[in-house]
Amino acid sequence: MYPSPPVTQQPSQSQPLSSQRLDVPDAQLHSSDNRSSGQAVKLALQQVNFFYGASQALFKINIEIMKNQVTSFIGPSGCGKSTLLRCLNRLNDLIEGARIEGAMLLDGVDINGPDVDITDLRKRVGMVFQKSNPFPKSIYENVAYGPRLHGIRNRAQLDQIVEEGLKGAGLWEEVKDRLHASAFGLSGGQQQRLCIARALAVKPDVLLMDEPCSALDPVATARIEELLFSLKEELTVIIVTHNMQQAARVSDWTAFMYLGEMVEFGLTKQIFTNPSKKQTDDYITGRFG
Amino acid sequence: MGGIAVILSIVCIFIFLVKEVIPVFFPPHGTQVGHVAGAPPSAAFPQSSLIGMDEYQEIIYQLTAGSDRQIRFFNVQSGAPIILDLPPELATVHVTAIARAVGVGNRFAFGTDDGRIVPVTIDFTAGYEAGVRLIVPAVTLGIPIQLTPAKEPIIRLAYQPTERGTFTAALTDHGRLWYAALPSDDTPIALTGHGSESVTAVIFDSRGETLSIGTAAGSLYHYEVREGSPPSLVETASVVPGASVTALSYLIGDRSLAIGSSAGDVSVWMPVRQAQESSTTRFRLIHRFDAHPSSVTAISPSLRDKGFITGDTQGNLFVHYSTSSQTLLKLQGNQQAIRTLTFSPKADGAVALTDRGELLTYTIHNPHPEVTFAALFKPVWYEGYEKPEHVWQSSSGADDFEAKFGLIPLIFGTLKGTLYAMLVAVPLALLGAIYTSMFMHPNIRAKIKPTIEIMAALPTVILGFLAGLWLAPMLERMFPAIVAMIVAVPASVVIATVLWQYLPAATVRRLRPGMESFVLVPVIICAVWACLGLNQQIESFLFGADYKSWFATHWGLRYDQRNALVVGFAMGFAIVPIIFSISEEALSNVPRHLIAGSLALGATRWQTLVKLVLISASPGIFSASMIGFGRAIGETMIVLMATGNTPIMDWSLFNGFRTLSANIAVEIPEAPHGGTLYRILFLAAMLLFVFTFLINTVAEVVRQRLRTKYSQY
Repeated sequence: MYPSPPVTQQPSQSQPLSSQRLDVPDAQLHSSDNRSSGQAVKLALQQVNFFYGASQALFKINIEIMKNQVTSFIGPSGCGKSTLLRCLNRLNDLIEGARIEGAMLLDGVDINGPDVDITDLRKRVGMVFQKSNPFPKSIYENVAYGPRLHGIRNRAQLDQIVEEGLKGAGLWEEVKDRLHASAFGLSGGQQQRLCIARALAVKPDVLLMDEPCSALDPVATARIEELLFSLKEELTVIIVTHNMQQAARVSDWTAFMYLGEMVEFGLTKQIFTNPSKKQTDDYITGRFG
Repeated sequence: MGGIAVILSIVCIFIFLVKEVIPVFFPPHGTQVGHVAGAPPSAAFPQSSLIGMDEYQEIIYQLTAGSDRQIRFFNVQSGAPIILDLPPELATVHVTAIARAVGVGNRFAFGTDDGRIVPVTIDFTAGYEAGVRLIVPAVTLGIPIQLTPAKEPIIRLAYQPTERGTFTAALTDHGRLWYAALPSDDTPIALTGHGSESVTAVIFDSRGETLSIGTAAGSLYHYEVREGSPPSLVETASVVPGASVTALSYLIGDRSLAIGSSAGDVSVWMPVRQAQESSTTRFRLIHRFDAHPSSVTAISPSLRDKGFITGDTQGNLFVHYSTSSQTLLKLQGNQQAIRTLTFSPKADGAVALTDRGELLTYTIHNPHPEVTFAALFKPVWYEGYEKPEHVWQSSSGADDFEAKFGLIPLIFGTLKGTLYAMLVAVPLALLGAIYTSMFMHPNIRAKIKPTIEIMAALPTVILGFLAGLWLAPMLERMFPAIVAMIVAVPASVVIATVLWQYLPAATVRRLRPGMESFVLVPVIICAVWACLGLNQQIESFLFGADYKSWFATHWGLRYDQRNALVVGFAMGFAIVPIIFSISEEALSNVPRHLIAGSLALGATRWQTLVKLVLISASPGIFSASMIGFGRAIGETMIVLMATGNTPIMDWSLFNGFRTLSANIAVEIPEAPHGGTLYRILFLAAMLLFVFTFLINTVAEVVRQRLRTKYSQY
């Protein structure tokens, strides 16, 4: 099903490839459930190690992310959730000394492969950051920024993309009368939804969200959570969150990470009601973290 | 607290500057201070009375024709006369005209009713007697000379002793004009160029080269005077149409001729070259002054500058200044016609003789006559120029020099130097800052920044010294190579970058990350070295044989060794660190999450830079440029040493200029305290102060605006 793993594969891996994908039997069960129910794997990570210089941040990560589902990464601070997320659109490339090993297959193609165009990858894998980061431009120009980069000049076309993006992020009704006002005039929640609209405007397949609600009040948080349900009809969402209730509310799948390792991955219901690992149980019941 | 102290000291500096500058703009003032009863002038002979004053304004003298044969001296304070009788050999004749020589001290000539002239010299010797200074006049008479063959009475006389001989011209009561150059040809010559017009004024210039004759028809006749040949009529001009010329006087320097008319008009005429290279000149009206209400009777030039005073038949006395075309002062008279008047030797007073024989003394306080707003900032028609121009030339070797205080060439020079420095510095500093903050490996960045900031610590006197004595001659020699480098260096970098792509991966990996840019150093050195080595070939390829003559023929540009190009490099070098440092800071301060946001949308680093980072950092980059600009405007040592300090107005890259700051440095040692130049230099300093203040204020306002527009935090 997958192409052969890349050369950076650790030689110590002696298990057959098919069983490497997930080492949690339950998850494997679910995964086959999914496949039988017509869902496809969008993104598959195989034995991914990540290093900041000499220190290793991620250890042998294996995970399969389903298409048109919301997957959340949970875990205590510093467990590597955000690092993993940033690997998925290669934003870690900017960090000096960062090194990645293992295969990361998006629709079956390794995103670290030599033929992958990094800007093309980032276009397909959008991202929303923890802190809303609108550009110092108007609301319109913020949303049009991505499409303009990718060569769309036609005004009517841009207008349509901007409208679709803002509607997709549930912001259109609030800002349609002041599209050319500065983005800094929006509230924090609106700014974050503007960032979502901006990411949607380049029509990504996958949307990465790095604790998108951590700086927002409950009302704004609720709006973004609602948004996730509609977003997953169009794309695959991966969300990093500190808030376990949020993970439980919004995600179909949950991965629990601890100290750079993927401890457990499975259906959210499963993870939150009947985790197979004691560490997971301890974390979600609040015994540590 | 500290802020207030800074503002307070700036305000103090400004107040001090204003205090030093403002006296040049004070209007002159003067008043009639006294009167002494002298001898009434003869009504029959118009030029029969002459008055004068010593330089301390203590003694007035009056020479009066007629029958009394006396020279009177008056003490200004007491009015007590000292009367010297004329020698007995003159006892049988009547003096009918008296002429003063121009610019050679107190030398006069008497014209007599039998057609002779008598040279007269008056000397003042100052001595002390019992602690009181006494000024003792002494009169020396020369040998009389017969000027008019027919022994007709002389009614007007011009007299000018020079090194080449003594020139005289006399008008007789029969209307004939006689000329003689003594002692070389003692045969008088009759001058007839003026035809039947009646002559109303006759004067020589101080060098005795020109004889000017004004007539009742308002015309001026110019004779060129040479020894050994009769005067030739070179030019005729109608100077006061519809009126008669009533007074003529050369201003100091003999170029400007002040003319008064019976209509009260006062004007200054100068010979002006017909064309740039032409040697033929034409007499033209250059300055026109406020007219007197009645006929002008006398003009007396200042012995110090281009000022002069005029008197009229109603007793008004006006003070004019030729260069600035200004009538500075109008002293109303008491309806007594002024017969003749004299500007005191220091131009701080005057004495006038009325028709009733009263000697009126005036004090005139006018320390800065040459300065008006227009003279400083507008084109002025100076002596010897074809048209009004902006000129700065504050001093010269000659005493009769016309000071030219046009500040525009200096302001122009300041802007020119700054512009060329900015053209060099802004691209270098900004591109350097962009590369350093956006693309450079952090380890190298940590070293590069302080290194560039050390450049700022270099004293500018060293930069100026290097620029003037090493860079300027080197540039002159290697100019074609420099032109080639502009193309060759970037091209070599591009080629090296392209070749880099083809290097085997193993070689590339051996390099420490971030060291790639150092590979370019030998490439650039090679390109520079190749250009310098091929200087000759480049010159013959680009410019034929010689680049200087190429520029002269193709673009009409002259290459001076110390020029704007040298200053551009040297001053550019001086302001690069500050622009670099502040821009780099601004670029580095663009929030990382904004850059990440852009990259996450699929922007390349270059797109992120152009579309996001530069915009966000624009307030900082703008203020960096403005601070660099402000520094370049005030920069002194580099421009002082590398520009040649020629105050010309020409944008050309190849010639020099003079900046306000360098001008202050050059001229302040020569400016007497409290003098006009001294105060104008303070004005230049104040202009610099205002420039820098305005630029910094504008920069700060724009920066604040950009900041609220483009930055989030």
